[in-house]
Amino acid sequence: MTSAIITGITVGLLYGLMGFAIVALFKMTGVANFAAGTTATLGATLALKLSDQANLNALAASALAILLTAGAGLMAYLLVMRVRDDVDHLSLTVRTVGLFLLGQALLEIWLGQGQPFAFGSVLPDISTTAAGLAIPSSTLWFPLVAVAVIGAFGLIFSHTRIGLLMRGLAADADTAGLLGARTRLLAAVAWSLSSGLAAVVGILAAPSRLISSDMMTSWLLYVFAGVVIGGMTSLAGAVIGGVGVGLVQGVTYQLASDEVALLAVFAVFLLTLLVRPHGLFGAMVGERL
Amino acid sequence: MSAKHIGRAHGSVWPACLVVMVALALAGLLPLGPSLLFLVATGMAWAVAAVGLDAFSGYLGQPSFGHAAFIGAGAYGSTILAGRLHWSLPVAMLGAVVAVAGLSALIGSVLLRLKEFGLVLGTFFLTFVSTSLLSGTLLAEWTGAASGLQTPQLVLAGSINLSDGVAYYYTCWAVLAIVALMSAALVDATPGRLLRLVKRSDAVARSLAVNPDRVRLATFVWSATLAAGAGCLISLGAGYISPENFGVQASIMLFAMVAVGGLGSIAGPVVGAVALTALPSQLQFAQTGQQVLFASLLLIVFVAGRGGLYGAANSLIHQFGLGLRWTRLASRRPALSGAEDIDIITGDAAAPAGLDVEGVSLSYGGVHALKGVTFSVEPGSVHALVGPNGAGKTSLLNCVSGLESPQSGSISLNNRGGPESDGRCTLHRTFQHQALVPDLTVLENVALGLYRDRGRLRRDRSGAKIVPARARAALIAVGVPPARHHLAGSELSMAESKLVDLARGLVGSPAVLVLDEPTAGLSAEEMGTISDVITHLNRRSGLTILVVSHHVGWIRTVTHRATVLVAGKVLADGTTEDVLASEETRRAFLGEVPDGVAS
Amino acid sequence: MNAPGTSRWLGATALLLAGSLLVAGCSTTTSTGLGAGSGSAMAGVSQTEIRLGMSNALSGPVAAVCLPASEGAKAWLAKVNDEGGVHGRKVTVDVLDDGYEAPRAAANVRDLTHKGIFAMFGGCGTVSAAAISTALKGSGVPYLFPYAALPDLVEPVQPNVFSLLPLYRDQIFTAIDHLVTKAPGTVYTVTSQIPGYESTVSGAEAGVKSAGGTLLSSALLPATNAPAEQEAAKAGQHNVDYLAMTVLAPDAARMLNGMAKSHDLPAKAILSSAPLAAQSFAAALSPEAAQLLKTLSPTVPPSDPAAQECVDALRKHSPDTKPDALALFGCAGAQVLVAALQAAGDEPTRSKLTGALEEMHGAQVSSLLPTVSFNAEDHVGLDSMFLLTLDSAQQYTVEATVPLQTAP
Repeated sequence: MTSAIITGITVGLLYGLMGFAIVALFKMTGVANFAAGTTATLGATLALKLSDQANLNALAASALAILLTAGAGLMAYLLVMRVRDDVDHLSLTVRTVGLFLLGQALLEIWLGQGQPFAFGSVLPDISTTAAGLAIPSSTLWFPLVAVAVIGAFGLIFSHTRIGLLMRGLAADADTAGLLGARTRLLAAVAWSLSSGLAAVVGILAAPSRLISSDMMTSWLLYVFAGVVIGGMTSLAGAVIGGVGVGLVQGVTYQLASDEVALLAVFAVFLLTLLVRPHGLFGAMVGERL
Repeated sequence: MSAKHIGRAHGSVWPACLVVMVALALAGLLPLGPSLLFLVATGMAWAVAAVGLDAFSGYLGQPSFGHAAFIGAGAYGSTILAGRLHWSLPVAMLGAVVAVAGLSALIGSVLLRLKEFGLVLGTFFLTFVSTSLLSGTLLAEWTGAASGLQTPQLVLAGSINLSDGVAYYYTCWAVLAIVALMSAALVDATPGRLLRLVKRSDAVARSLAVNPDRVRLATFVWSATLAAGAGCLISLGAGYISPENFGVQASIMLFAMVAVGGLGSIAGPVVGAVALTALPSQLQFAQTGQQVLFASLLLIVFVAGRGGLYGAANSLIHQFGLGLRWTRLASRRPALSGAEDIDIITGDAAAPAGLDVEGVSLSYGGVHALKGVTFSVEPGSVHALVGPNGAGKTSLLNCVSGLESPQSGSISLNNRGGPESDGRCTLHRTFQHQALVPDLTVLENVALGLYRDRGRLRRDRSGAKIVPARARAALIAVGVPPARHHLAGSELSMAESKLVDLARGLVGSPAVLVLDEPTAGLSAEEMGTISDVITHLNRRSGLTILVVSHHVGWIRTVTHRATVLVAGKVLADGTTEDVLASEETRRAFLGEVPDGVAS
Repeated sequence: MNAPGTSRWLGATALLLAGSLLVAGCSTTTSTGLGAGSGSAMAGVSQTEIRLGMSNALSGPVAAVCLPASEGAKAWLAKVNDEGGVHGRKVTVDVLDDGYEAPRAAANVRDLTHKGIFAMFGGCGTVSAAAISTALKGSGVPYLFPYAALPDLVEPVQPNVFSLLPLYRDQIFTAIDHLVTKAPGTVYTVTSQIPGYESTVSGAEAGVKSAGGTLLSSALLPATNAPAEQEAAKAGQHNVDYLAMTVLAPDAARMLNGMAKSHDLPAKAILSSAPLAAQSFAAALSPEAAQLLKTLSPTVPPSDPAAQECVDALRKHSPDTKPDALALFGCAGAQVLVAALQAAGDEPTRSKLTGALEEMHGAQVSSLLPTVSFNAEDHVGLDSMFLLTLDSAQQYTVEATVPLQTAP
C-alpha cells in the first residue's frame, strides 16, 4: 500500500503541475485548454528528437524543447486563438479541441513507427531506499520541481509588472482592457508560459510514461478532475486537486481495479462539486443582475 | 454587449431543415457506391443524436462530451434486448430508448447540479464510465466486454432488409426526418424560446416563472433519448458494435458534428454529422496525412465559422437576398399615441396594489445586506428607491421579486382601497444588466412575459393568438415601433433594450412593476424617453411602480415618494421632495454615513 | 419569419448539396472489370491479375503499429510480381484505410467486394477484424491472415476464414506451461482488455495450474488509457516469481520499467505472448526487465537470417518501413498466400484456394514462420511458435521453437 501511495502522489504531482498550467491559462484568458496534454507530448517529443538527432545532452535538449514548445504555444495563440477573438469563451475552448485533434495527428506522424520511445530522466538520479522501500528518483524530485515552479510563478505574479497586469487580466479582463492593459499581448504571454510549463510536465513524465503520441491522453481526465476539484480559479487548488486525484486513483487501484478507481475519482469529483460548486478553493462568481 | 453564449440560435430553422432533408432524400438516389451510401446512412443515424445534442448544447448553451454514452446505451440496449431476451427488434429498440430516457433523467438530476466547466467535465466522466462498464467484466456476460456484440438485422416482410443498402439509407432518413423536423418545429416555438431564455440567465428565467432546472433536465433527457435512438439506428446497420465505437473519441466527434454544422441550427448539425462521418473515407488520397487534413478542416471551421456551416450558408444567402440591414433608429421621444394599447394590456389587470416591506433582513456569507428594512409603496404611486453603491438596493429587489429569501421580515402585496381583486396580484421586476435574450426577436422577448399566464390563456381559449398581439401592444405602449419588432435582441441599443424589458414586464399586466436602474448608462435624451413612458403608464392605468435609480434629478421628475437606503438600512422615507431635500440624504450620497446607521 | 429567405434557401442549398454529392458519386463509380459481384468464383481474377482487398489502419493512433503489416505484405507481393507472379498472374492488393474503426472497416468491405476482389487479406487489430468478418459473413469471400487473435474468428471454424496468429489464450497457456513447469513458483498475470481477453485470462490461469505453479492474482488493464504505473506498483509488491503478460506493448513497457525502478521485477522470468515480440518494444525496455523477458512470437526476429529475404524486399519496396514484428508478419502472410495460390493452380477459384490451404500439413511455406498446418477443423495455421529472448544488445534471438498447446 505504501508503494501505491508513493506512486499516487508522484503521479498526482504531475497531474497537479499540468493542472497548474491549465488553470494559469484559464485565469488569464478564460479558455480551458484541451490541447494541454498534446503540448506536453510535443515538449517530450522535441526533447527526444533534439537529444537523438542534434546530439545534445538531455538537459540542453530539454531546455531547448521547453523554449520551442513555448514558441509553439505562442504560434497556436497567434494563428488559431487570436484570429476573430471577439467570440465567447466557449467558442474559443472549442478551438482548443480542434488544436488537440490536429496536434495529435501531427505527433502521430512525426513519432511514426517504433513507439513508444525511451527517454532518460533529465534530473540526476537520487533514488534511495527508506525503511526497506525503494523510493524512485522522481518521487523526490517532483515535489521540488513543483515548489520551484509554483514559487517562480508566484514571484512573477507578485513582483513583476507583467505579472501584475496578468493578475488584473485574470480578475477582470474587460476592466483590465479598459484600463489600458494590452490584453492580447498578455494572452500571448500566457499561452507561451502555459505551453512551456506543459512541456516541463511532458519531459518529467517521459521517463516513466515513455514517449508516444498518446502518452498524455490517459491523464487528461484526471488532470481536469483535479483542476475542477481544486477550483478552476485557484492555482494552488489545481496542484492540491491533482495530488488528491492521483492519491485516490492510486489507492483505489491498489485495492480494487481500474474501473473502481475511475468510479472513485468520479465520486470524489461529484461530491466535491455538489457540496462546493466552485471547487475546494475556487472563488464564488455571482451573476451580475 | 458581450456575447457570452455559444452559438446564436437562429430564428426559424424549419426551412433549412426541410431543404437538407429533401437533399438527403435525393442523394440516396445517386450512384454513390455501397460504401459511401452506407457511410451517409450512418451519418444520418449520428445526425439524430446531433440534433438532440444541438438542443442541449446549441440552444441551451451547455456543451456536453457525454452523449456518446447514451448512443452506446441505445445501441447495446437494443442489441441485448433483441439478442438475449429475444424481443422483436423494433420493440427492443423502443425499450432501449425508453430505458435510456429514464436513466438519463436519473443521471441528469445529479449531474445537472454541476455548473459550467464542472458539468462539461462531468459529461466526460460519463463517457469514460460508460466505456469502462461496456468493456469491463461486471456486465461482460451481457455486453460481450471488449469483444463487442453482433447486431441483429431487421428484415421486413421476409425480403426487405432494413439493415443494408438503400433500405437502410431510407430507414435512417425517415427517422432523421421525423426527429429533425419535429425538433425544428419545437425550437421555433415556445420550447425553443425557453431554452434560449435559460441560456441567457437563470435569474431572468425565474423572474418570468420559468424553472431553469426543469428546463435543463427536460432538455438533457430529450437529447439523451434522441442519442439512444441514434444508437439503435447505428447498431441496425453496423453488424457489429464494440465499446470503442462509443467512447471519448465518439463524444468529441459528436460535439464537433454539432459545432461544425452550426450550434443552434438543427439543420447545421445534420449536415455536420453526415459530413464528418463520410468525410474521412473521402480523404483517402492523403494517405497517412488523412487525420491531419481532417483535423485541419475541423479547426478551420471552428475558427472561421460564426455559426459553423449553417451560419456561413445563412450569411451567404442573405448577401444575395435582403440586402443591407438597416441599423439604428434615431433616439427621439416617441409620440405616445399608444394610449389604446396600454388599455389592452392593463385592461384586465387587478386594481392597483401596494407593496409592504416589513423588517426585512438579509445576510449571506457574513455580509449583512439588509437590516430591518421597512417601508411601503402606495398603490398607484411611482416610488423611488435610492442609495449609494452597495447600499443593498439590488438585494432588496431580489427579495421583493422572490429571487432571494430574507432571513426575517415580510414582503406583501396588497390592494387596500380598491375593489375586490380577482386574486391575480403579480409583481414584475426588470433587470439592470442585459436581460433580453439576444437570439430572440424583440417580439419574442416580450412574449416571454406572458409565459407565466400560459395556463390561464389556454383556459380562456383566447390562447396563443393573443400573445403576439399583446406583445405588440406592450411594445408600442413603451414607444418601440413595429418596424423594430423583428430585430434580434442583440441588435438593440441599450436604451431600446430597456424599453423592451419594460414592455416585457407590462405585457403580463402586473399589479406592481419594479424597475432596476432603468436609466443607468443612458443619455439625457434617452432618460427622458423612459420618464415619459413611466409617467404615462402610471397616469393612464394607475400602475404601481417602484424604481431604483441613482439619477437624483431624474427621480425628482418622475416619482412621488422615495426611500433612501444606506448600508442596508432605511435612512429616509417620504415624499420625493422632502427626502431629497434632507441634509442626511445629501450627506449619505456624498459618502458620509450618518451616526446610527453604520454597524 | 424569413419568407424571402426560405425560397432562396430552397434554391441554393438543394442545388449545392445535390451537386456536391453528385460529384462525390461520380468519383466513386466502380470499375467492375474484374468480374461481377461476390458470388462468382472468378471474382477478382483476370488473365493477368489476382486482386485482393485489405482494410488496415493507415492513419490514426494505431497506424504506427499497423501500417507495417500492409507494407510488409505489399513488399513481398511486389517481389513475387517482379519475379513473374503466380502462374503468370500478378498478385495485387487494394488497401483501404479504416483508422481502426469498425464502421469504416465494414464500409471498406462493402466497397472492396463491390469492386470485385478474390479474397480479403491481412489487416491489423481485433476490432476491425471482428467488423470485417461480420461484414463478410455469408458472402463466400475468404478472409486470410489478419494480425488478430480473436476467438470469434476461428471458434467455431468458419469455412472461409484462416488465421496465422494463435489465440492469446493458447499462447499464454503454452508459455506458462513450458516455462513454469521446469521451476514452479508464484505467478501474477496481467491482461489487456482487448477482445477475447476473458478466455486469455482463463488460459493463463489454466496454464499456471497445469504447470504446478501458484496463481497470486490476475490483473486486467483497460485497452486504452491504462494506468500502467499504478499497476506496476500493485504487481510489484507481491515479490512474484513469474509475470505472465498479454499486454499491449506500450503499456507493458511502462509497467515493466516502473517495476524495474522500484526493484520489484519478478524473480524468475517475464512471460509473454506475441504483442511484445516487437523490437521497438525491446528498445524501450530497461535492461533489468529485458534480461528476464521470454516471449512467444509467430515470426522470427528481424535479425534472424531466415528473415533476410523479407528484410531485403522491404528495403527495396518500402524503405520507410522498419522491419519489425508486424512488417514480418505481413510478409509471412503474403508468403503463405502465394504458396496457396501456387497450389491452387492455373484456374484459381476460392474453393481451390481454401482447399489448398487445408492441404497444408507441416508445410514450411514461409521462412519467417514455423511449419504451417491447416485442416477442416482447425483454421489456425501455426502449431508452434518461436520463443524469443533478448541478447545483451537487447535484440531478439530465437531460443527455441515451442509446440502450441490448446488451453483446456
